[in-house]
Amino acid sequence: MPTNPYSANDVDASFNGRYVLGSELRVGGQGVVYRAKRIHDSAGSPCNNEVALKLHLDSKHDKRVEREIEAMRHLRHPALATLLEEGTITINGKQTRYIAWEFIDGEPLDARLSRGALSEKEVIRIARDVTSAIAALWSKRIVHRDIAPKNIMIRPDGRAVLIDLGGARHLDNTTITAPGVTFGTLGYFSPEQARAEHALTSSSDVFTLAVVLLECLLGRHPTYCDQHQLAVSPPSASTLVPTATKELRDAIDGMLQLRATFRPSVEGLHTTFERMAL
Amino acid sequence: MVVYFFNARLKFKIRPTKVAIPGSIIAASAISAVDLEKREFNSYPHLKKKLLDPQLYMATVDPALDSKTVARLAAYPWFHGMTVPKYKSGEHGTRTAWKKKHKEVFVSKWTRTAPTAPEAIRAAARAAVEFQIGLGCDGILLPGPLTTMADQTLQMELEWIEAGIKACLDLKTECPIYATIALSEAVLHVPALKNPLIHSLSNYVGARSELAGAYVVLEQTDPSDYFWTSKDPLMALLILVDDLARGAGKRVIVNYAGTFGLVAKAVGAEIWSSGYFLTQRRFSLKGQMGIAHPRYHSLAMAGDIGLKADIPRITQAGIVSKVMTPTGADAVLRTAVGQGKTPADVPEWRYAPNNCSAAQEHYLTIMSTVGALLEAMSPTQRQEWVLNWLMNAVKLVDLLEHKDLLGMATDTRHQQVWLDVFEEWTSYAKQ
Repeated sequence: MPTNPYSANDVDASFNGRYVLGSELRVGGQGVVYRAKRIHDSAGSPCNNEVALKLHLDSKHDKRVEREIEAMRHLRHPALATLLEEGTITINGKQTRYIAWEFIDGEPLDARLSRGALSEKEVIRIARDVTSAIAALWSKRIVHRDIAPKNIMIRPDGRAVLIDLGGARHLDNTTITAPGVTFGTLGYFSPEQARAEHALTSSSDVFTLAVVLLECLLGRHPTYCDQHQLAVSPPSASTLVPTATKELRDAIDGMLQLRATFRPSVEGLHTTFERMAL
Repeated sequence: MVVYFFNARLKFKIRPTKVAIPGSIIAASAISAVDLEKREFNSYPHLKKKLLDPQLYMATVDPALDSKTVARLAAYPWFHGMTVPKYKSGEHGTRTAWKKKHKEVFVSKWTRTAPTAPEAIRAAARAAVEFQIGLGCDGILLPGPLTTMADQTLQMELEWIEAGIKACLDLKTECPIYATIALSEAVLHVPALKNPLIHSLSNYVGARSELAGAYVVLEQTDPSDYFWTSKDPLMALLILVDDLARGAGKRVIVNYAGTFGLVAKAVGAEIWSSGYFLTQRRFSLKGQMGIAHPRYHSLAMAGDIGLKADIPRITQAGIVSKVMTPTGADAVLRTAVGQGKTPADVPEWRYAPNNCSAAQEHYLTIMSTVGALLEAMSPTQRQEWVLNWLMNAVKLVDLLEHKDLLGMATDTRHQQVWLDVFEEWTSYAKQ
């Protein structure tokens, strides 16, 4: 389990009052995320907005992070957390990259799932919003690579937002990740992601979203996080949730095709889910 | 929809075939840009539809082995960033004089690499797209490097695809756009179902809505084989075609697979392109091929039969009708062997250097006829036809070998491999 090497006081001091740290939201292999209040932007203009402040712990990924940032900088989408600011600070003498993301007010999907399965209507809404987010990312040649319940926030109005784009990879980054290394969450890898293939596309995110949707319908992970089964014999909505409408089952089964090119396009899926959500 | 294309090289002229060949793919390595620009395409029915293969995947050609090819390729502006001087008749005289003047510089500056810097890639990709638009091509084949063992991250391949798409969008072409997937044989000698490169490439092309499809080229290491005999590369080709065509709904053009293109067609390829000569049937970086001799193509045997000794032996055994494929081009040969004569008695079919006109017409007639036949069938019928064709070819080879009628000049190694591959693909596709 990764631990946070920084104390909140050290981080606060390094930002010199520009950010006021709140609770620690998450610590992962790539970094630590705080809820924080952004008082001023880097130019000194007052902001006073809530952010998810991520400190990147691994300097080896700096080049990758830079390219992701460049690709994300101009991306604005209602179902994606917005990048507000990025830069480098010195904490305890160590140069550290930070990114301030829009703070999404709501409940993480994994927390919501701990209370049981979602209704079909709720699942369709999540599918509609997240396919829209995946399509927006893919329009910039970005693959999220870590679509899992922990990275989907449900706003109070029921709209879903995809967060934690720290593992997202832009096309240009293909060679920056070491061969055989993949990002994501075990139990939510697409077959090609599990094989650490290069050149992932939106199809990979489509697959993992289908796993999440099935989990929402079932109230548990469809393979109990058995990644091997996902990679060789993906679950079927028709078998696991026979009570769901055929259109939804067909859409999810299409998304779970083993061969990436046999999955429907994310744009087509979004249109389908949008229609179903009406 | 069209199915069989001719691989056009320097000489565009071919004898007309009974079923017209609807289009051609012109190889940049076979004709210099200055020569290509002056060609009258309308004079050739088989160039009614045309594509230009920019052949960026040949950027590593060794000038020490093949300086002529290097000089031709370097005359196109997408290879290594060199400014290609414009041909001006008043200044340079003939095109031949222009080529002669610049050949030495072209060859000496040949870097044996495709451009790698982002700016250079963008400029080169745009130049290739612009050239094809200017030539009036019916589709745009985006330039793409050869995928080799050296770098399997596909970084370069994807950058070239992106640059090509951008160029097409900037230039507002309405032609269908095909990403070139050029695969070295070296990366295909792994079990095809577990070859991540194949799925990565098809996945990427499939996910780009701007692309109509892919133009697939396989590089063959051994420059002497007319027919692919290795299972894994062939299976990889079928999976790639299937991924793209049936999976992503893309169009696929297969080149340099020779007669195996028929199998690719059954799996979903839109077009396969080949030609009679070795340089038209397969692609290798190992320099120029030798002088061509006539070969008799037998559709029944899915291969070429040795004209000099094997046809006479099979004739004497009384089963020549089982192997011959009647076309207008071989009528004189069939008549002769029916009378107990040998190909040596038929001038058009005599085994002699460069005496290939009839053999070429015969081969192209078979390909265009079968192409049209397959096109008229449903996908299921097409697959049944190919399965029967290959099963019968295997049986025929067994029969001829059993009777000891075949020598080294007849190709007998690939039929069983092709059948195995097709059956394996059929089984895989049902999953």
